Amino acid sequence: MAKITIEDVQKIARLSGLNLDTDDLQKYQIQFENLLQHFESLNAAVVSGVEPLYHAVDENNFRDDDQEAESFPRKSLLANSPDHDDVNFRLGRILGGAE
Amino acid sequence: MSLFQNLRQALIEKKISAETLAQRCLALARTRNPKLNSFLEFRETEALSDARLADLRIAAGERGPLLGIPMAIKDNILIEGSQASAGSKMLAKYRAQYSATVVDRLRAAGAVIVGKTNMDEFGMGSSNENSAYGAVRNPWNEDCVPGGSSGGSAAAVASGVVPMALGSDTGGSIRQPAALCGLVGLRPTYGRLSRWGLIAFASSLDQIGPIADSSLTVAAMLDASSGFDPRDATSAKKEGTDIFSKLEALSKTLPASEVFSGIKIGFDPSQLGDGVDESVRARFLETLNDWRLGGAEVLETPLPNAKHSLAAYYLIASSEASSNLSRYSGLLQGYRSEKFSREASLQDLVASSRSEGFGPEVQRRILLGTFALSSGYYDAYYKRAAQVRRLILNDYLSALKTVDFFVSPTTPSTAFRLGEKSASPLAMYLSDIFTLPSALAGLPGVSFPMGLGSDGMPLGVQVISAAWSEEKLLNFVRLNEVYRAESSVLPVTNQNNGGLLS
Repeated sequence: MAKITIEDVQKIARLSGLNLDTDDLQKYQIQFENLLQHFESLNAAVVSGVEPLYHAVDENNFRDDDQEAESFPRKSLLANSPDHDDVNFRLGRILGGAE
Repeated sequence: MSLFQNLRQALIEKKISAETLAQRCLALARTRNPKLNSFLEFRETEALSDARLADLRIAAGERGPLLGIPMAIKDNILIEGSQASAGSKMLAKYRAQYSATVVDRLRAAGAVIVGKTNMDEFGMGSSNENSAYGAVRNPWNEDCVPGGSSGGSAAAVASGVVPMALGSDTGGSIRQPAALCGLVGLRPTYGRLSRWGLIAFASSLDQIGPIADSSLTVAAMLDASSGFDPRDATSAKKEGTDIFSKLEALSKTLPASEVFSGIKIGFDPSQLGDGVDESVRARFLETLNDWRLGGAEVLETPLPNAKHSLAAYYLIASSEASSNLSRYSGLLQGYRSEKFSREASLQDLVASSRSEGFGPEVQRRILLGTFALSSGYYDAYYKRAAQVRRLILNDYLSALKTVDFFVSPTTPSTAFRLGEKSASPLAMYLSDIFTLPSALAGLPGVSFPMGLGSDGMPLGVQVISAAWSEEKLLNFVRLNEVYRAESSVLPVTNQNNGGLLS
């Protein structure tokens, strides 16, 4: 059975881009152990030589030639952003700290 | 007759205009919404404008089945200019820049979209308790859940506000709420309906589909919205369906003992064991017997790997969700943490925005998916789940060589009480146990009413068939509606046309 530690949950949270407080870390550690214990049932399935099925139908991810088309107006795209200056998305500092 | 048929007839006979119908529908929806919480947005201006167009088309002699019929759309399906929150705080202020292909097609067929419906956040849930905008209540009993994740769509139809709605089904999110609200819900074959304009949860599983008051309504919606769409790379290169007129022509001419003659129906008795309520089991066995008496051959057809569906589904769907939802970072769109300051690092901004913007179930699945895809665990969890997915598909392919349909109850119980399963994710996940296997296999499945449980709440029976055989499926449901009264159970609130025609 997979043993999940608080440190494991912390690492997964970091990879997931989520902040978890101490209570959350403990809660998820217990829940993941329970879920993974249930998921161990997959080990009973005989999968040797079985090709994984990532899409249920064969006919998918077709490709077409690129075609020039109009894009969405800048204004309408910026309208859904949390912060902008009417031309650009406004983000935080990417490199370095406060000046 | 269903609400849909009554409304259609009244529109054609000009006993009511589409505009008046839309006005009444909106008024009724506003009256019922404080209790049910099924709608997140009403589209008053747009609906009335679309209804007036429908009136002009009816006056010009058009008779399409959806002309002037009011409907609701789940809030993860885009309508240009409308909100599309997907039940999440993350997209609270998001307005769609374009419409989903299915929306364009339904509006072109004359359907009048009156509002957007509540849902479990990003489609993750089986009770509609995971919405950032509050739980939806079941019109049959407001202390109970309507099912999820398309719970708002199901409650809107079951309460008689609209005869039809669009939902989306990743692991059962159309069929399960349809069953718990006494409705017909169809998950089409994966690729049958375009996903262009559907906010993604798990892309290899997500499929849009109808929830409605009868198979006729479902057929009309499927005919109008199906067919190849070059904007969706997983859309099947197939023509749209043409089912409605054939179902409409079906009338009661056969003797009771021949209604289901020539139809072979399979079920797996091992699925009816622990965890399935006694009243569900009893009603399902009675339904099988009804079909036998109607001339069908009912066979025991094992699906040996279906028992692994829950594990395979939650690993695959969570893995895909962890990737799909990585786009919500607080940078370009959606919620940004209010604690943000320009001096904070980008990493802090992203983590704060995601932690505040996503609810607990979404965070749980992102974490689970990230774990399943992470180095050292990929082969043991994600890859193995995908291998089991193929075994499940092979089970169905083998079963459907000998039977026309594979059947089961849609849910292991009737609608449960709000809060009853909130403490245990696993208990909640188990409520989808019957709908998960066919979702993994990409096969079409329909749920329709099979009477009431011992608590007086509706139950559904699920029928699965081969890929692209929706016509055969809906014909079977229609036979049940025409010949078996249990298949058209509707809540009290939906009787007398819910007040829409009075």
